Amino acid sequence: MSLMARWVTLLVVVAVCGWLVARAPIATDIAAFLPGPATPEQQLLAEQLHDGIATRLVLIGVSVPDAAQSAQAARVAAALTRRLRADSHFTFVVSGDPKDFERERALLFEARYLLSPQVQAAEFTVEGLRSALHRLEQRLTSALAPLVRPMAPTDPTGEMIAMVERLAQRPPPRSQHGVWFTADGRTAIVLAQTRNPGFNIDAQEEAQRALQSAFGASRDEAGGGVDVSLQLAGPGVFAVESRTRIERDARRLSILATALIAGLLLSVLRSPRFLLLAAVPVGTGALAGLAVIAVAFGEIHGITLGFGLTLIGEAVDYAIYVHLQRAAPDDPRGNARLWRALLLAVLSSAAGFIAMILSGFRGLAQLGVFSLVGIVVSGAVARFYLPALLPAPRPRPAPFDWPPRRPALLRAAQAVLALAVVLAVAQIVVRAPTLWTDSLASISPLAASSGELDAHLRGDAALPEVRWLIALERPTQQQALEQAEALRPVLEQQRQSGALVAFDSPADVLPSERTQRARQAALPEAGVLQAALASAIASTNFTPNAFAPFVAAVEKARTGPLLTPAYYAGSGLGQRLTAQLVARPSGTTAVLITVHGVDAERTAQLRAAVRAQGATLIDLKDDVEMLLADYRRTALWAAVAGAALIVVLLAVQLRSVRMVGRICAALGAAVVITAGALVRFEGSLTLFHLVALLLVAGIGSNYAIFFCRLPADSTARRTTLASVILASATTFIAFVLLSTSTTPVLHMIGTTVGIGTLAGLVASAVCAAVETPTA
Amino acid sequence: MTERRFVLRALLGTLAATVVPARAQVEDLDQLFALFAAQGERRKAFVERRHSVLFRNPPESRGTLYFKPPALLEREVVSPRHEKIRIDGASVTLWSEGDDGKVIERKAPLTTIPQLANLVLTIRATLAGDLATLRKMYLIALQAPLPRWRLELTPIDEPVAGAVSAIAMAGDRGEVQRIQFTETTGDRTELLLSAAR
Repeated sequence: MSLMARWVTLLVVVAVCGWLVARAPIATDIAAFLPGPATPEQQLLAEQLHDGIATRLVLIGVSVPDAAQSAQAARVAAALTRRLRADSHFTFVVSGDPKDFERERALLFEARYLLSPQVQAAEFTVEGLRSALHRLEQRLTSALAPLVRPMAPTDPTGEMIAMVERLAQRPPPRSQHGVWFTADGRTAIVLAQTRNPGFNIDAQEEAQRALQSAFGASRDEAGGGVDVSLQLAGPGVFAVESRTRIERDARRLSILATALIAGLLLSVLRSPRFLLLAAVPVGTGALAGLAVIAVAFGEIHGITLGFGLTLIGEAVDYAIYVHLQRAAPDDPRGNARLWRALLLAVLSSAAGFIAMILSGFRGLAQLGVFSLVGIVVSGAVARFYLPALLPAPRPRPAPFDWPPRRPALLRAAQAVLALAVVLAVAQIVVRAPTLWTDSLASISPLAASSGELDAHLRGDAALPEVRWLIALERPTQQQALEQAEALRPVLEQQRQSGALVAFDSPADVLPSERTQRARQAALPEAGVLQAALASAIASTNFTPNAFAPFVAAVEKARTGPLLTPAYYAGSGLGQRLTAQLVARPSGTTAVLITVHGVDAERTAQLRAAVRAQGATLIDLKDDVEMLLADYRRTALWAAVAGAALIVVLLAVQLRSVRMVGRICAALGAAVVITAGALVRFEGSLTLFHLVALLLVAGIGSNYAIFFCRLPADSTARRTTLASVILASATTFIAFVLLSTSTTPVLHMIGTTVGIGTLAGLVASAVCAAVETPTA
Repeated sequence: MTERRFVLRALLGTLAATVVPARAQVEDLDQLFALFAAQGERRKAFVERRHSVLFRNPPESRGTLYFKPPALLEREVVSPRHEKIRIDGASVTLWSEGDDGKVIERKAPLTTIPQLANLVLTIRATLAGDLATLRKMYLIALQAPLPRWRLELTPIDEPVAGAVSAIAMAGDRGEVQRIQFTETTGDRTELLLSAAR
């Protein structure tokens, strides 16, 4: 290819890549770094986690330092509730005031003859009414008479009580001063539902700002000078939090990495021109990587955008090798040697990203693809474009030589390395039983404290735990509701056997049309009911006209319309229904039944009972952990395959058993020492460490490749040494900075590769460069 | 406080002033509640009657009322059917007999049953001689002085549906002998207390 054509090609590629990247949407969804769905139930859950109504929930804690000041917290919480209700960012706000639930109570009461499980034809016969009135008389003389009395004339058969007993299986949340409170009495709880879904992070951020200013005003108004503080939790809050954190990290790390690496290169090489030119392969590689992702994934994740450049900081290495190791123009053999080493280094580095690509995490796979493409492209640009642009090569020999002249020194170094390997192996063996962590908490992009706050507020507000769910899916809404109704007796039986404490089924507030019609059919006509009632009353202590409103209410329910979800619109029950009765994108309807207090011993029994009814018990924690363990096993195989690929590449290119053996020894030592150090300092390993360990092997192989074929000429050899050390220093800086990230995946990769770069450099020097080359 | 209640208070104040001198009333109330407090832990037999438009004859239940200062109240009904409710601090436990004769136990925080909460707090504060707590909830008027006293309590806050809208009490020195609760529905519940056998 002519020089001209080569440049035109590059410009066209850059332009196309730039165009592809510019039109790709940017995702900031942290779920990309959580395991993807493996089963239809998990797919359903993933949808719910992404845009379900539950993602609109904001848990608000209004805290005071001392439980004695709970009255102030309650007043501020009440004022905040009032303000948020008037705020258009929020659609629904509750804080535990019994008055908050009057609307829900009224809706249930009004629909009692369509909702009550007690409604049957036998209930409205003379006999049925007589026993109902007998029961009512008992209730009116019991300690709870004040509750029953106001409803007695309109609901003598006690439908409301039957419904409430079925709905309220769990004790209600604690409350003080008319507001929900945490058990320690220091935090008043308010629940708010945002207008926009949780994944709309901009809208969430705006809503949270409105919330904060409403809190400020409420504190000034009702705080009475007490130190009242605000805590927020919930999916939307976390989404905003992690985006802010990722953006902050990305900005800080990019600036720091660029400044430190540029400073290092400038101070060592003293060539501003080189510095500018080194950016060409890196920039082209990054752009190509992003373009490939934009096409392959349809979107670019914020983490890839923010941290990808740091991850392929290694690409600077190729520019360094080309700049320093290029032979004089009159030595084509010297250059051919460099190009082969470079090709091998690029390919083995690329192989190091295989485990990441095959990890099963969408986000991680994206980072892996980006890095692989980025490395290969920047290697190619460094090889084919840089030489023509770079200033003439100037040897920059290292101030020392390697391997050392005295063999004893090398042997001592090898002994130290062997000792380090033994110590690392011992460390790993000692920790073997708990070597791997598969808990979601260990890899979740959320800060641990956010999760605790959420659990704390959620538990005390008696909100559904997020761990257990029963899911079922049917072609139509009616079929789904009928299935939920069929499931109810099974769940009730499980509840009574102690397998679970409570469950919330949407069919309890919205029965299927079939059930509603059956209940309507069970209600007698007004005249018939009037006669039966009169006859029943005659044998009781009640006055003849005591229940006049009852007859009218039954007639209204008998001839009235059936309940639809619209009946509950705008109420708390409506919110619950939307969350639990979900129209799927496929057109089917899913019912989600929340389950509380599942007895871990009896999960299998519950699971089987639920399955027999065509539904599935989902255990978020166990399912996710099992999935993570699965992913880890896959990643382990991918890492082994990647390592094997690196070995094959080396063998094909080097065609020397001895050299391949030395390089493998160096890489093995680097990986083992890194793993040992990780186990020592991080306690246990996760999937993310594992994929990064393959990266260590890929990066380490670069150093080993150069070390095992050091030039015979002393100046050239020392220049190669200098280039390798400089390259490893830039890589080390990039990954150490990455390890300071607060996002677990980046922290883990950074720590692993940071340690691994050092270990790889030392192990390569000690294992691969063992004989002073002779010409 | 609504304006209506304010007027009511002013009216009651004027009324009370005409019956007993204001200063004497304050002293008498303090003295009366000191007598209540001095009784300490006690168990009383009770008869309860509900006068309601719903009933031809007021139904009657009998049992015992047990109070242990400061916050344990237990009401055990033996006739017409067994039922026991215990309010210990803020937690309520109810044991009631089902149709099959089996006893069902239910628990709930007192705050979730506002209709009951007021009633319980009132009885507890009275028996404990805790005038300050009672004054936060009611306007208190001493209708007749010691020894055979009569009290009238009017809630300061608007009562919720089914809750108490007025209370009248009568007794002899430290003994509370009769409490009558008038509910928003117009029902009157009469509680007669006597020495437990």
